Amino acid sequence: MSEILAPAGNPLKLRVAALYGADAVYLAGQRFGLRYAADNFTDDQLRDACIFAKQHGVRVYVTMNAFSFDDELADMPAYVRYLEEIGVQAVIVSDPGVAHIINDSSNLRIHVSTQASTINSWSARFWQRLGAKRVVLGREASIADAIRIKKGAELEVEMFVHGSMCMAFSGNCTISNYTAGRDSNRGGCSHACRLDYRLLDSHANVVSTAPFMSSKDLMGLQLIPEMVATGIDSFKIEGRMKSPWYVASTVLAYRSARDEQKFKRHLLEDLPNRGLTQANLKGPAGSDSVSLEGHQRSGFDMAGYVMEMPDDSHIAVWLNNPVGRDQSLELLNQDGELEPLDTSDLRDAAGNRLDKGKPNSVVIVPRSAGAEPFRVIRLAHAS
Amino acid sequence: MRHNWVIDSRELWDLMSPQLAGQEVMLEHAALSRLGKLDSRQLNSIAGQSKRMGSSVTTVFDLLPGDAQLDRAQEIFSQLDWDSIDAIRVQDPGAALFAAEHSDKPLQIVLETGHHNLEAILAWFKILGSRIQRVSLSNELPIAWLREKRQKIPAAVEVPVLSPILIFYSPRKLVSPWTQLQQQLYWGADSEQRKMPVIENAHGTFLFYEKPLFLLPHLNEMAAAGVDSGRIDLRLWPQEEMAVALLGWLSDKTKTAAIRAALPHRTTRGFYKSNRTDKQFAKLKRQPITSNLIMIGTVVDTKKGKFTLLQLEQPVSVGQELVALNTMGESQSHEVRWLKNMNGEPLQKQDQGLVLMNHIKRSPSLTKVFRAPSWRPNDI
Repeated sequence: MSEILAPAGNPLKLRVAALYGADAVYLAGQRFGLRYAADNFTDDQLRDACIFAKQHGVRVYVTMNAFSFDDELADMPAYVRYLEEIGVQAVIVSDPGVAHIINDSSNLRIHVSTQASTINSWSARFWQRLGAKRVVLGREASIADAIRIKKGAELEVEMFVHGSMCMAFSGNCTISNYTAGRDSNRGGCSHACRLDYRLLDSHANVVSTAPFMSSKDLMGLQLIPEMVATGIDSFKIEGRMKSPWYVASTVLAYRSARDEQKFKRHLLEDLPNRGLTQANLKGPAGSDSVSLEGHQRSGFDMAGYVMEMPDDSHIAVWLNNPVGRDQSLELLNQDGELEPLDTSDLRDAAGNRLDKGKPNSVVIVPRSAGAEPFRVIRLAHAS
Repeated sequence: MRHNWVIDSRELWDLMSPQLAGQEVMLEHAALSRLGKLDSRQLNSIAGQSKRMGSSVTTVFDLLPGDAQLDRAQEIFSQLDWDSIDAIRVQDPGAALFAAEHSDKPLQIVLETGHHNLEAILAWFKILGSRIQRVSLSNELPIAWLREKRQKIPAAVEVPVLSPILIFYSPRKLVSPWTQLQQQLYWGADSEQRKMPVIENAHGTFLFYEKPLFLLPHLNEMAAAGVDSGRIDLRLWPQEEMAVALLGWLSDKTKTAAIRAALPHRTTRGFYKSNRTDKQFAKLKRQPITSNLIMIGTVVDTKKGKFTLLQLEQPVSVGQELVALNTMGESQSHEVRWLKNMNGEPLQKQDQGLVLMNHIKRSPSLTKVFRAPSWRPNDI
């Protein structure tokens, strides 16, 4: 069955992904990955993550998809041996040198990152010869391309189905390197493609001022049954930097589409986004795939998540946002339904009544039916 | 050091061909290369003329193609006069395998994106071996790297020495939605000072850095480092003045000033001297805690003078000495004087979950709490 592969930017998101039904997660250690600004996992947290994931039947893939410099490679064999020892199922790479070192140092499965922009079956075969077992296709590939690649290379094929997109071929954009002095392919992307640019003609007349290089976000939900039927091995959700609410909503939506062919589209449309597009999944992305707004449209903000249940009738909730007494909150249960949460009796951890809970604090509220640890909660009104 | 000259159009060939006898020309077919404008007939014609002038000819196939484009490439390959072509230049690994299978010509591999370590470069030789005639390396590899590693690369090495710097390549058409004009070159400006060339064609949209790469004054240094070939790409500046300047330079390689003067913009050496593009990372993010301290948990709520609520990762006991490290990096010693569960019941020890304890000073939410280094389990 096609797997649902969720982003896990930190241990909390890993737990949320597992709880809401992800089959696998991808995450990064402190080195060799691309999301430098994400929390990422220390070596000890990686070990704990593997233990937790194994207990919950979730596979763990570790990203090592930065383009590395020579001086970093010396530490890599010991690191990948550690990953193998703690039970990581695969590593995600984009650098042929890194792939070679991993092959030489361990028996870890190699998945080729989307950073390698693999969009034809010949490229997939190249990576197969370097020891890869799976390719994460470039986001320029269509479902039809994926079928041909899967047949042509006899490799597992993973496709992004949701989330932010690079407008450029991934791994081929160096705007940040030259304009900001930050290596975009080593975690320093400055998201220059999201900025407004004045587009000038050859006479220096302004043709337009717009974020003309900013892509809308990918949403392939409606295509999931077709992708399941064609045997795509893994559906990847972008977004290690995004909230636990995003992780829960996307995993639920795509799992429902895969298992029941029910499209819980509202879960995705309620998330902050730059406009939604199927991009290249059904054919070359057209001009309607450009996000004219550049910035993200607001959606529902995450209020927090259930930390634990101190007794049968209450839950302890970690707050990301301020929440006042009687404010409407909704808990996302395992079926993807939104349960209202009673905030009429809002207390702190010591039992003192509160009028308002602050961000980064814990409040105690009455329990709702679907509550259990790591269920996520949102503010009931979009920002 | 040899030079190889990008020829993307008949016009550029007409302008530059008097200077190119005995040089290497790289011919860009419209269906095979990102920015080429030549059709098969034009490419064959220029290739034939080049051979007669004693030049060597490379066909550029630097698209990042899908399988459908590779099918089309097979058709184009069948139209080319391979007797006049000496090598094929590719970037995509699949295009490389395809070219190796559909021709017997040597391959020039463009490794200008990524490939910042020797192992990455050598990996290509494991797959394609002696079919690789030359590798074109990234400007992001400084000259010191070339000095140190060049001899370990079992093929000729090329670097760009006078060229636009491509910084963005998308298969989507991003200019035409905004204008009815059909111009070859646009500019994208993110400020008054910075205007970057933009090209849209059948293969997508291409953005170049505002300043051209200009390394002609450093050719001797590069040659000493073992660089075999320097690429010259004039596609954005094919003026008469440039052709004259290049003619002067070819007869006397110290005459670079006229070429620089013929360029309409300030130039850059790129990362030729050094590459510090990951030096800012430390400022982007707080450093991970990598000390040998054992983490007990994280502060998740606090009320000054009343309590601290801790989410535990390790057991904690009354009497234990802790060290709290807040998000500003300030540390605070703390003795656990009391513990309570979420129902307010006193505890001597708690193994996991949430636990209330006496207030830890200057330790707001998200503060990390560790065992004090002096504390051992037998102390309880």
